[in-house]
Amino acid sequence: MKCHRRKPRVHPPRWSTSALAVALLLTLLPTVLHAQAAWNYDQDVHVTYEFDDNVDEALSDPVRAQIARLAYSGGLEWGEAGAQRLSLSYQGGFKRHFGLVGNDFDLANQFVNEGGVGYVRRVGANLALGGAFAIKNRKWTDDFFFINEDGFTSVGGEASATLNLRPLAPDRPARLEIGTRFGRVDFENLDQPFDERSVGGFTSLTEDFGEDVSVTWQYSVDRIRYPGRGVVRRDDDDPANAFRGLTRPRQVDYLHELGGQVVWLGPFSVQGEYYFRYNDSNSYGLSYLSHNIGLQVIRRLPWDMLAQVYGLVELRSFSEPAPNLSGAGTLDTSGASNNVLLLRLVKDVNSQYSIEVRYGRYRNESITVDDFYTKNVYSLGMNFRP
Amino acid sequence: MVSRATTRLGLVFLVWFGATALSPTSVSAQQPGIVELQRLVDERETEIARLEVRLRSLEQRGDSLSTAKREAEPGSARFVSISNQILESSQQITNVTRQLRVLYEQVRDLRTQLFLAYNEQIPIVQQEIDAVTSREPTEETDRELRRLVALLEDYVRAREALTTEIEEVEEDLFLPRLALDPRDGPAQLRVKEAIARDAVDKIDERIAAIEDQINKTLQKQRDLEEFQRIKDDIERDGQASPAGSVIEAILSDRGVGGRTGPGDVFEDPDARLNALQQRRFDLVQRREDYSNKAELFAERRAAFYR
Repeated sequence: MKCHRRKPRVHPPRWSTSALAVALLLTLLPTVLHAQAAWNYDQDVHVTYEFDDNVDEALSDPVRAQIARLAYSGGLEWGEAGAQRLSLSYQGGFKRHFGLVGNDFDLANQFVNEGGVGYVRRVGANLALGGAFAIKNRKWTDDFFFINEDGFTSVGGEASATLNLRPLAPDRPARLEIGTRFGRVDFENLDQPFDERSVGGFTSLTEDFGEDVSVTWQYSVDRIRYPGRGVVRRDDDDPANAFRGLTRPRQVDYLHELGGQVVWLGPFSVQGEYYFRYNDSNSYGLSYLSHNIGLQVIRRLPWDMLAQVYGLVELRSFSEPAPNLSGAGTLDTSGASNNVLLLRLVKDVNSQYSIEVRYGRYRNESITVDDFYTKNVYSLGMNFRP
Repeated sequence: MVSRATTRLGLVFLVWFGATALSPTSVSAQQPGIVELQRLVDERETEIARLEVRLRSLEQRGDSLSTAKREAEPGSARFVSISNQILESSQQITNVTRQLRVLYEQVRDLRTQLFLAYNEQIPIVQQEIDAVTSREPTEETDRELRRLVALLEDYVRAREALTTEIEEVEEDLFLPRLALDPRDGPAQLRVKEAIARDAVDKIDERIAAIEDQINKTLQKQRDLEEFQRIKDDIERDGQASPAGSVIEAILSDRGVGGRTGPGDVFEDPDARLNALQQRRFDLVQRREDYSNKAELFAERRAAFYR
C-alpha cells in the first residue's frame, strides 16, 4: 500500500462559492411559515458495520479496515399534491485501519462526513424549479494517508428546471429536465495538481411506458479545470511538465456523457444503464472514451427477503498513446467506482425495520495510470424507516 | 371483476373505433357535448343520493311497521291500519328501487358516452396543438397553445378519472341493491339473504384483488428505493466521490420513500395508493352493509317461526 506524509499546504478560500450557493438555494426556498397545513415527512436511518480490505495490486499489500457508518435522509413534502419538496441527507462514518504489513507506519483513522440539501418546487402545472447543494469531507486523524484515499473536501451545487411533457403525450407521460451544476474538489495532501473545478450542464428526458417501464435519456457536458496542472504537449510529452510553471497553460477537459437507463418493475425488477463517455482534454494523452455498462436486478424471496445484484464495468480506451504519466496524476481521481460487483440480501423484520448483509468488490484505477486497487467490502447493516 | 371491467372497456373502445371509422363527423354532430353529458351525470348523481337516503328511511319505517304488526292483535283496527301502511310503504320502496335502477343504468351509459367523447376530443385537441406549433410563433399563438395544452390536460385527467368510475360502476352490476320490503315473507327473505351473502363473497374477492394491487404498488416503490440505495452504497464505498455524484445522490433522494426523482413533483406519488386504499375502504363498508343486511334478513325470517 502506498502511503504518504502530509506536506504543509495553504488552502485557497473555498467558502465564498459555498456561501453563494447557499444564498441561491435559500432564495429558492419558500416561506415555510406560509406552507399549507397538509405536509408529509418521510425519513430513513441506515446504520452499518463494515469490514474491508484495500489492496494495491502492484504491491499485493492489503490494508484492512473496520467502518461504522450512520446515514440519514429525510424528505418533506407540502403544498397541493406535494408541490414543494425539501430533502436533507447526512452520512458520517469512522474508519479504523489495521493490518498494514510490517507495521512500519502508525496507522491513522479517517472521519467521513457529507451532507446536502435539495429543494424542488412546482411553479405551474407543467414546470418545476429546483436546486441542491452538497458538501463532503474526508479527514485523516493525523498526517498519514493512502494515495488512493486522500482526505478531501468537495463542494457542489446545481439548479434545474423540469418540464412536464404529459399533456403532449397523454398515454406516455414524460419529463424533460435541464440544469446547470458546479463542483470543486480540494485534496488535503496531493497538492494542487489534483484539485479540480467543474462547471457544466445536463439534460435528461424520462418517459414512462405504463406503470412498470420507464426510460431515461441523458446528456451532460462538464468543463473540468485543473488549476494546478500544466498542459502536456504532443511534441513535449514529459509528464513532469504537468508540474512546471504557472506560465504553462492549465489543463482543461471537456467531459461529455451520453446514455440512457431502462427500469422495469415486475416480479423481479431490472435496471439497465449504458453511458458513453468522452473526455476531450487539451493535455496530450489524456483524451479518452469509455463505455459504461451497468445492470441491477432485484428478486423477492420468501420470508420477506429480497436479493439484489449490481454490476458495473467501465471499458476505457485512450484516443492518443498515453505517455508514461506515473506520478503526474492523470485520471479522474474522484470517479473511482468504475468496476463494481455488489451482492445484497435484505430481510424485513417488520414494516419499519430491515437488516441486510452486503458484499462489494471494486477494482479501480488510482490517480496513477495502470495502478489498480482492489477493494472487498463486507457489510452488515440495519435500516429504519419510522 | 377486473377482467370483466377490462373486457367492457375493450368493447367500449371497439364501439368507439367502429363508430368513428364509419362516420367521424356524424358522431359529434348527433351526440351531446362533454359539458352537457357531465351536467346530465351530475344531475342524476344528485337524484341518486336523494333517493338512497329516502330508501333507507322507507326501509326503517317498513321494518318498524312489520314489528308493530307482529305485536298487534290480528283482525284489530290497528292491525288493519298497519297492514295498509305496510302496503303503502312497500309500494314506495318498489317505486324508489325502480327509479334507482333506472338512474344507475342512465349514469352508466352517460359515463360511457362521456368516456367516448373524451376519446374523440383528445386527438382533435392534439391536432390543433400540432397546427398551432407549426405556425409562426406570435403572442397570440402562444396564448392559444397554452389554452389548448391546459384543455388537453383537463381532458386526459377527466378520462382517467372516468376509467376508474366505469370500473366501479361495473362492480355495482354484480352487487344488487337489496331493500327490506315489509311485505317480504320467509321465502323472499331467504332469497335476499342468500343474495346478500353472495355479495359478501364477491366483495371479499374484490378486496383481495385490490389488496394484491396495493401490495404490488408498494413493492414497486420499494424496488425503486432499493435501486437507489445500492447506488448510495457505492457512493459510500467510493474512494473519493466527486461533488457531482454527491449531488446526484441527493437529487435522486429528493423524494424519499420510493420516489424516482424530481420529475415526480408533477404527480402525487401516493395518489394511486390512496385511490386503491379508498376503493378498499368503500368495499369494506359495502361488505359490512351486505353482511348486516344478510343478518337482518335472517333475523326477520326467523321471526316468522317464533
